[in-house]
Amino acid sequence: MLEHFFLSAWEWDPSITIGCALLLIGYLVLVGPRFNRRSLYFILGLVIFFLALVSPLDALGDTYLFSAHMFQHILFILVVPPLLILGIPKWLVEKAMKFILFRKTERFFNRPAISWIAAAGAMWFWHAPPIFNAALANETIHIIQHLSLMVAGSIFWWYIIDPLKENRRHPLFMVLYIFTACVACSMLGILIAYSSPGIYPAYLHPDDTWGLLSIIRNQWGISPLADLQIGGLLMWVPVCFVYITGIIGMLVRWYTEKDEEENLTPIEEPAPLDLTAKSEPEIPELNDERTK
Amino acid sequence: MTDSNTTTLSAPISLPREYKGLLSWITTIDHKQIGILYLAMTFFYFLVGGIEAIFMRIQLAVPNNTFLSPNSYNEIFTMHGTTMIFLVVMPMLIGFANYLVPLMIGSRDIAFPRLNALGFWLLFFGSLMLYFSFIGGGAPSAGWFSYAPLSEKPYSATPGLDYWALGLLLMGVGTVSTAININVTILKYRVKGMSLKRLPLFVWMVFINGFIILFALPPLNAALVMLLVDRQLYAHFFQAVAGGSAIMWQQYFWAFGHPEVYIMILPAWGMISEIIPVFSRKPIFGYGFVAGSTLAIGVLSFAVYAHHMFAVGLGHPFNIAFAFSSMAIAVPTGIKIFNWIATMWGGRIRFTTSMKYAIAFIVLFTIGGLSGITFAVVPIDWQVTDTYYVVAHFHYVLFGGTLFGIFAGIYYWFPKMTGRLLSEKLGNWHFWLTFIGFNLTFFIQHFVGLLGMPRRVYTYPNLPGWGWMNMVSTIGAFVLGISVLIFLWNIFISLRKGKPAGDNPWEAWTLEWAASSPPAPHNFELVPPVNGRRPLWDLQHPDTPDWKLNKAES
Amino acid sequence: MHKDKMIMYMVVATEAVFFTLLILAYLYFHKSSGTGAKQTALLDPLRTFFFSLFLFSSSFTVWRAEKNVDKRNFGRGGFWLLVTILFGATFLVGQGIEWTGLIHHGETVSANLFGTTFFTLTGFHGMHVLVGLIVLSILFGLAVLGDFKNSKTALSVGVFAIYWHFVDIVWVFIFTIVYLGVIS
Repeated sequence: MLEHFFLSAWEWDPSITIGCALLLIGYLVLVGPRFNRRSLYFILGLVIFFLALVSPLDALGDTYLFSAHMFQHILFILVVPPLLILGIPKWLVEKAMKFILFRKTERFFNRPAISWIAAAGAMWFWHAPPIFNAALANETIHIIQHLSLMVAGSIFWWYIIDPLKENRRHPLFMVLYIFTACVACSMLGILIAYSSPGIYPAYLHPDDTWGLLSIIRNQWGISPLADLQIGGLLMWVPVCFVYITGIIGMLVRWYTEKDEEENLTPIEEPAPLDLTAKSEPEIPELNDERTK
Repeated sequence: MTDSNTTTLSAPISLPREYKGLLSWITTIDHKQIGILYLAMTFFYFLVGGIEAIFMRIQLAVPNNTFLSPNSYNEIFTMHGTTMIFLVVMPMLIGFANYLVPLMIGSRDIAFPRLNALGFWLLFFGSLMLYFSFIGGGAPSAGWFSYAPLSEKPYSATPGLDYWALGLLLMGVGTVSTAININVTILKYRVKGMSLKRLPLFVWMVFINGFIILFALPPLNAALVMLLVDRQLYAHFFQAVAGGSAIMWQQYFWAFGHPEVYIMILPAWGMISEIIPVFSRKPIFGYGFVAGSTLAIGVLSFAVYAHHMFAVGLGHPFNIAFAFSSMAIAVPTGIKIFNWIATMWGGRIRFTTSMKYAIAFIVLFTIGGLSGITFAVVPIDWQVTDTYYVVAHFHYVLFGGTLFGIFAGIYYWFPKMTGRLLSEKLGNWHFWLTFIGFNLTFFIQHFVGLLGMPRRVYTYPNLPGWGWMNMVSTIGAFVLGISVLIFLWNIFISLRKGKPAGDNPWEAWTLEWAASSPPAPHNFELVPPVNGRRPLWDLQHPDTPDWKLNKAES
Repeated sequence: MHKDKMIMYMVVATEAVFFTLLILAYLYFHKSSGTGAKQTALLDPLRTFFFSLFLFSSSFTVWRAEKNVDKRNFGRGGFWLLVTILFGATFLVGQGIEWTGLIHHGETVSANLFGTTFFTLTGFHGMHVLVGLIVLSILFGLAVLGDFKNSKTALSVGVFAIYWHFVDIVWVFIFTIVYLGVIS
């Protein structure tokens, strides 16, 4: 049963296949058919996206396991977008910025409050039981769900790995941005992990089209409750590690970037060490404000 | 510019006019005085907590002992834990941070001096409220983490737990206000040239710690508030019989409790990161890794907390998820251990008392960390939870770790605070007695725990091995008691007749050593220029400053 | 960013976590205790919304106060502070009316888990509003006495406004979750 499922539950949906192929071809045409790190990121992201939609994971998540569905969503919002963005070269973005529509959109979304709320909002919105259940029942809504998660994820990550480096904020601010997003995601995971399985009733008695139900319930021992808990936990603990990777990335960036920070004397020409001259004493008043 | 290499054999240390008299200490808003107030208060409570521990060890020295009644024993171990955590370790670290951070960043004082004083007095009065319980109807006796439903009214009828909750709430407000005070100071009051990447590691750790405190105390406050509402207003948060959830207490408590243990170790890591380079005569190895791993730990500390609840029955998904994250959090910790060892490697080690404590810290903290990792394996945890194995583990990390780090810090910064060096001879006795006493007390507890002896029991039956192991542990506790007396004597005699220290007795490199010992009320006349992580090294070595040699270093 | 504003944002951050946890407790027991749905029927979202409008508007009025004090119109600033106090007090009065109504119906903090979680959550929110009103009164007094001519004191209105907006946002969450039943 299981092998049969893994071999035949692939849905080579024409729109997805053609769409991804076009995206890949378009990218290679625009960027040039070279295989450096950047294009590998993009291709990897595209491959993960493609597999997430056509592989048995999709069937598993849509019918049997809430946790599998969550895994798919995590790929859409946290794994695929950063890979795709990392694959976009700076010059391409600069060219795109010449188009007023792109520029205006980018300026609007490339703000911490907006991008943060987009990601957190999309996550929380789609997990509200009535909305989530509607997406399970209706294929159009489901497609909108997946697309919006991708878009929200892209907006979130664009702020962090903006190809236009000069627009990026200070890495420590990014750490705060990522950390608070981690908390928001974890809160949702916590709520779900402690809920009862009835919130997403479709998973209580799934349509056993592939005959996997007995394997899942008996061999793997995943009851509806465990399934819900795993889903919630996936959004909590492992996802934390994804965010931490982002935070570590920010730290690496911070420690390796050339110093253009305020409050710094330039390293190339330090002040001559004249011990007779008074250095600037920073002696603030007791109650003062040292505004910057 | 003060000469930092020779000791100034000046007149006996006299306190500046501003620091004389009891009133000046009670009304002070100077961060140095407040820091010393913290240290004095917390040291007092260290003695109190230590006496409570000695009482416990006497009761447990032999099986079926009758030195303490069961209820008294419960009160004492509850108060011992609460005291040591909330009235000793946490505020001692905060006191050090209070004293040192403005000096290390070249500032005159902390950002909000009056708020700073408020933080201390809230802690002080909170502690009085907590201890008042002994005469106010009975101390809390439900353990330092007061699990529900034991903590609810039917099972804990005395007001002890109300004093506990209220005292902790007061202290919590003080702690958070001091933490954010220090963090704003670090963000806004650094001297020119000191970017966040050039912060002394102690300051960086305190900075990250401040954020952990900011996010970790609210769960405790929420839980305490809910407990008080349950107890005083007859509500039902934690009463399963009325539909509440006793487990929710554990969830909220440990959401605080796990980050709390990181709150208790981060500043000690910072101290070690300052002390080891100075006494190895080498800059810290891998500054970026130490700093970055600390930030990772700060974030991760919130993602591991349910490993305190493996035996509660949350189910396999929960247990597996948190086992995974708990094992992962060992990585950034281990990174630091390697960095400290690498710092010492090839250095010219000076075995001052401070350095001995720092090296012992690395050894003992690693042992504690290893026993901790064994708990991340859920089936092992199921066997050893609530046994003396746990007690051994956390004493290794908190005593062998944090407290040894604090002792290292005291020997290191006492000269700066008082102008006098602590006696190295007495320090040597103190160190070895502490080291031997500590290991005698706690190492054997790993084994008696593995043999099955539960914790928080007022006595135990005469099972094979339990008796003599407990006796060994008790003897160790008395050795520790003697070591503390020696330490007290060292402090007392050094304050009076200790060798004058001069500004920089250790030839250290961070900014606090450019101030006089003790620093003037305004800290600095002139702050040395900061072009790297070791400003005083750069100043003393104009031909080989850090920034010239390490182009990559920022 | 000025240090006073920075520390106030940190206070807001820590209080936000605190309220999140009280809200999580409410949500958890709302579902698990089984009593939640019945009791929420006793709430009157419309009337509460009416009183909430006063709280929401007070964010606007405190913003006006801040702007006027920044521009050194202390008289107007004081006026807007007074309006903020009145609006905030009205909100609390509304809360008081609601609470008395519930208690008359036997819904107390000790009656069941809805009462426990509801009163704790709204009680702490109300307490934060009350503390805000006390501070507002002090600020209003300072305005009347002319203390805002000193620029340091004038900054305090802006710093306080951060706290007040936070209290407002918390109420938005509480209102939508408890009274409108979103999420629960």
